[in-house]
Amino acid sequence: MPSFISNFRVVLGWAVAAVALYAAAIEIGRPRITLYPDQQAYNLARAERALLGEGEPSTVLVGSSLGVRIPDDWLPEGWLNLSLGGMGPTTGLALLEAGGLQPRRVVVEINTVDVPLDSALQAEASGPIPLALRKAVRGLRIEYRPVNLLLSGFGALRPGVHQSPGRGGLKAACEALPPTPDAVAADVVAREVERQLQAPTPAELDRRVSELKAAVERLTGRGAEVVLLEWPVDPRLAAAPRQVAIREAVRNALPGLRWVSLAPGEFQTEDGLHLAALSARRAACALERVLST
Amino acid sequence: MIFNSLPFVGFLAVVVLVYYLPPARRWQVEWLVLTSLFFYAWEQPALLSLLLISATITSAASYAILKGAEPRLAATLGVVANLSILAFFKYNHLVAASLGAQIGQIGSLGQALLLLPLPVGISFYTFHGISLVVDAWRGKVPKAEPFGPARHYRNTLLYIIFFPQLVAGPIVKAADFMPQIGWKKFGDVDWRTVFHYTVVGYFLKVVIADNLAQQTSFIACPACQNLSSVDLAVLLIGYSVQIFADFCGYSSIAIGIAALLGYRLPINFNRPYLADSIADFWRRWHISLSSFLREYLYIPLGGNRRGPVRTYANLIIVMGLGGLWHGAAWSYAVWGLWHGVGLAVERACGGSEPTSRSLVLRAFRIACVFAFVTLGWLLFKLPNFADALEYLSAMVTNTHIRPSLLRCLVIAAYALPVFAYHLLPSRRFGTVRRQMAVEGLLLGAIILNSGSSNAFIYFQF
Repeated sequence: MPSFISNFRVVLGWAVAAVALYAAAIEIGRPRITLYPDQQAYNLARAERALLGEGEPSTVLVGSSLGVRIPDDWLPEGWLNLSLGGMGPTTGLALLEAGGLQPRRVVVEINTVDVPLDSALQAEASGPIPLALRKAVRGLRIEYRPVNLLLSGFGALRPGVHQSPGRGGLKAACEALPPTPDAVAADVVAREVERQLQAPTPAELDRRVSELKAAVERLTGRGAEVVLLEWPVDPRLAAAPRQVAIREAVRNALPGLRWVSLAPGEFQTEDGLHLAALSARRAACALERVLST
Repeated sequence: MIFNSLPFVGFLAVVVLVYYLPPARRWQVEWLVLTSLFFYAWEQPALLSLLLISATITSAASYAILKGAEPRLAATLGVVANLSILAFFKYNHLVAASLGAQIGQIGSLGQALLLLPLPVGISFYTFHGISLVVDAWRGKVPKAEPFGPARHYRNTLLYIIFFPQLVAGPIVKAADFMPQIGWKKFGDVDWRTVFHYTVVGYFLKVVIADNLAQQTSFIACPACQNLSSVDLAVLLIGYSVQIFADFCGYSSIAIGIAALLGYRLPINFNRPYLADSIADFWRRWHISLSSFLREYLYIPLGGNRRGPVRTYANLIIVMGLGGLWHGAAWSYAVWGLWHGVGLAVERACGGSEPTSRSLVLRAFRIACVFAFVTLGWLLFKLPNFADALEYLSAMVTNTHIRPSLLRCLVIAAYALPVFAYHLLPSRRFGTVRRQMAVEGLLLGAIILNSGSSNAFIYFQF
């Protein structure tokens, strides 16, 4: 019967060898991760990126799944998209602070200001493998999990799943985007719009807006420019009590900040809230255009 | 405290360290009792008293039986008390809600019932209590030497609250566990069992089940209306894999940890998705529960000795009650009846014991049983009947929606190791060294690809 020592040595030896081999392959190959199996995996990878504090992004986008629709390569060089599925902008702002990132500009999505801060995400993204170790060994990062690699490899094999701007650069790609609207299922949009027509409770909204205000003040105190962004949603939802209440509360709490609204008529959503693929790229181009002026 | 949490790792390290310290050896059983109580109190300190009441009643009843003092009365009281505790604390919500639905409103008694929380592991520890009383009555439990109330109480406590199996089994029969209680030596630990079961268990839980949980969260209605038929079917298969990986993972970890402390727990799963009949499935799935139900319910009801009609009725009753044991909702009872009726029909058609040796026919039967079992799991995921029906209807009608290849790929990626686990049992890996190499690779996967930590599905039962 193998002893504790021989069991431990052999099992651990194989585990270390497998992890080391994988980490070496990641280090050499530096694969680009474009697809994640689910929203949680995506959120964790984004949170980890912020917590590692790598790079010096000039502009950071914080918000919800509305912003997740914007593909990374359709944002200008040096931008970091910290939009997180199922969460609001305060979660992204907390991650930004925790990671010590100091961007020049922070674009805050206001559509989902009423969604509370999720501190569990930060806790989960911080462990169990220490961040310092992950900073040194890419292969141990959440972003490079084997399943993410598998899916991104699959995505790369299927052109059309993810359309990059191409070699001509972002500006040329934006100009080349077809003006045709996205094909969306009208019945699905109508059903989802119906589901979303609810108003937040005033006390809850006040609390969330106060949290946002405090975070924004800390950012501006450090010299960052804060821009408030309203993603285009279905006009019925834009006029619904929830969006109206949020808009008013944010305007009252943060009056002096720059406010960007993308004209809703130019974009299509898949479910009333989330931009369809082509519209998401078009929105990225429009945002870049507006902010560069 | 759940097995896949950091506090548990720290807890286990302290337990094992003190357990095998030479000066503490004579207090090993007391130490395990104490730490098991701490383990339970971590989640629900208020309900520790209920666990102790159940264990005390069981101990008193089994002690009286073993001593020969009114054994019939003691056995009856012991079983009735445990069943009453289970019925009262587990089914209060169901009774209150059902009464409320009938009379149009829930009265103050119903509301008081609804406020009581469901004690974690109640289904398991009350079944342990019943097993001890019945096994003592049947003369299968030896007396601890020297036999006295204090030592018997201590041993009963350990049997009922032994932390590796306290909250979700496996359900160990008293006759198998009680004789194992005693001093353990570090040198006697079966390290192969410890490593094999612990690594495989954690792999199944944190790599397979926890990652699949993110996908199967899409099994929900009315959102199911927006998914294609293929997606809905693949998600259901994913849930089938998830529930296996979750529960088999838990049982394996429990077996591994118990082995680390010198105790043997029975295996709970034997490649269940290779079953070629429903009866075969229940010989392979949650083995400790099915053998408990067979021994303590099906056989006392007459089993298959009283003619075919009575046999079919017994099967349906046992499975219906087995379903209700899982959860206090009518959907669980219907799930149990689904299996009970399936078993009865299969038996009536002579399909319980397949005789054909054709590989193709066997593969076809395995696929049919898998489909039958997988459809049944829908009631676990969607306890609301209307939701389950809507899901099934969408599965049939949503053929026009394009399936998500990405989702299919993710579920296939996590299902593949589980099907490989079924097709390649560990003994086929060859030498012990090769087995250890495979465990090393699984450990590597745990480090690289663990999902978000989720509680075990069976904790709710």
